[in-house]
Amino acid sequence: MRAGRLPPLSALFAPSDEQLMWRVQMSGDPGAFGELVRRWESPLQRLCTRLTGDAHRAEDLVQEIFARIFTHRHRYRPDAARFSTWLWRVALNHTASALRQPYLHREQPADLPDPDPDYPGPCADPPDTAPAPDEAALRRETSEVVRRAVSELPEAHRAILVLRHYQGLKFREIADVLDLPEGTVKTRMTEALHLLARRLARALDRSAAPPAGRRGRLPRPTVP
Amino acid sequence: MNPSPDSIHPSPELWAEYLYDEAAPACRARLEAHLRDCPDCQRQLAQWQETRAALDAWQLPSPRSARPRATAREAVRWAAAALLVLGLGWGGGRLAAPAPPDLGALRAAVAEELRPALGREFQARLDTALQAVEQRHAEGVQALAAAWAAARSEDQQATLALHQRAERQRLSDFATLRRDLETVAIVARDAIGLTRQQLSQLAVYTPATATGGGEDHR
Repeated sequence: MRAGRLPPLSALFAPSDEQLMWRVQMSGDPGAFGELVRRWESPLQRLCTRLTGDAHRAEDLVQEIFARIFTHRHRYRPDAARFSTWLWRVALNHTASALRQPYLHREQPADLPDPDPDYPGPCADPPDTAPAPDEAALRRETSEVVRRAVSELPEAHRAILVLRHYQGLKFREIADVLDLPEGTVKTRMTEALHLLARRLARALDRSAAPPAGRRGRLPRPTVP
Repeated sequence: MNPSPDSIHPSPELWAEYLYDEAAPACRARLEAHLRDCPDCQRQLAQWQETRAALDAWQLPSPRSARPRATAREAVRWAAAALLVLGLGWGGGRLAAPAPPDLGALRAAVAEELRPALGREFQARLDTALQAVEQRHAEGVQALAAAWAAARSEDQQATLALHQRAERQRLSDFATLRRDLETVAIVARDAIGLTRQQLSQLAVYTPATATGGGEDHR
């Protein structure tokens, strides 16, 4: 887990994820599992939202992922991988599997406010400074374009881009999670940026498209 | 990871490291030196950076269970904890460094405690394994004996059947031979009777023929 701000003092003496998972494995300790859920719920929620582009579906997926983690808790081998690596792997596999299934819930942009004003939903905290209405609308529009562009990426590219750019994992960690060579992960990352640039340029009508005549001179990633 | 000397442009892998600040300082310096003289790579890098910036436009709302922001109170707590730790460390170091634990003695004590328990567990597991082996052996012997008895019974039945078949054949041959001999006897008896009759007739006619017609023959 990554936190850019000062962690609470109690975290200094808190058990590690692996220690908590050991308790869950040995005795199904609900307290230890609850602590793991508390620690990882937000990162998983963000991951699933980025991968699916749907905050509501991501909530469902996070619950399913934790249920899966508890059900298959004996499969975790602390000598083979860190808990975070195993968790990311389970989350990615489950989300990819879910994305291949039809989803009956209505797709909704991840960062749009909930339609029910009485229900705060997952976005309970209001922004600190409210932007002007036109600026807010422009932000929402740009955000939606990016969300759609990311959602349209191939699965392998989308996972790497989300883990690196949004979740902040290093390329080495992503390679461990996906069980891929590190070079492949880096190459796919630049391919993902290429694909996104083309889609965003079309969508936003900006000058982000690659200039003419560039092909053949630079090493151009192959897009599967 | 260094740029390949054979290629004009650094590989996408190196640019990925560069974009996300994972390149080693020497590699980063070489990439920046290449960038200064390569407008193609400058355009490519600018495009990637622009895409990265666009990605940041997709902001997610604060999650429900996000941690509260660190406050000044938290910072003060950290500072107090750091002071306390420093003070304790300094004081402790002044007093006396604790003697390091005798790991060898500790290991020996633990081994001494564990050895009987491990021995009992090993013996129990060994007994269990031996019992299982004996049971499997007995089952194998029983199965072998049963198979041998079944095979023997089958052989006996086959031999008896062959014997009965040979006996039936012998009786049949004997009956056939008897019938043939009886037929021969009847035929022979009839032939003997007929011959005897002919001889009697011949004897009746022989003197007349011998006295009356002997000279004709001569």
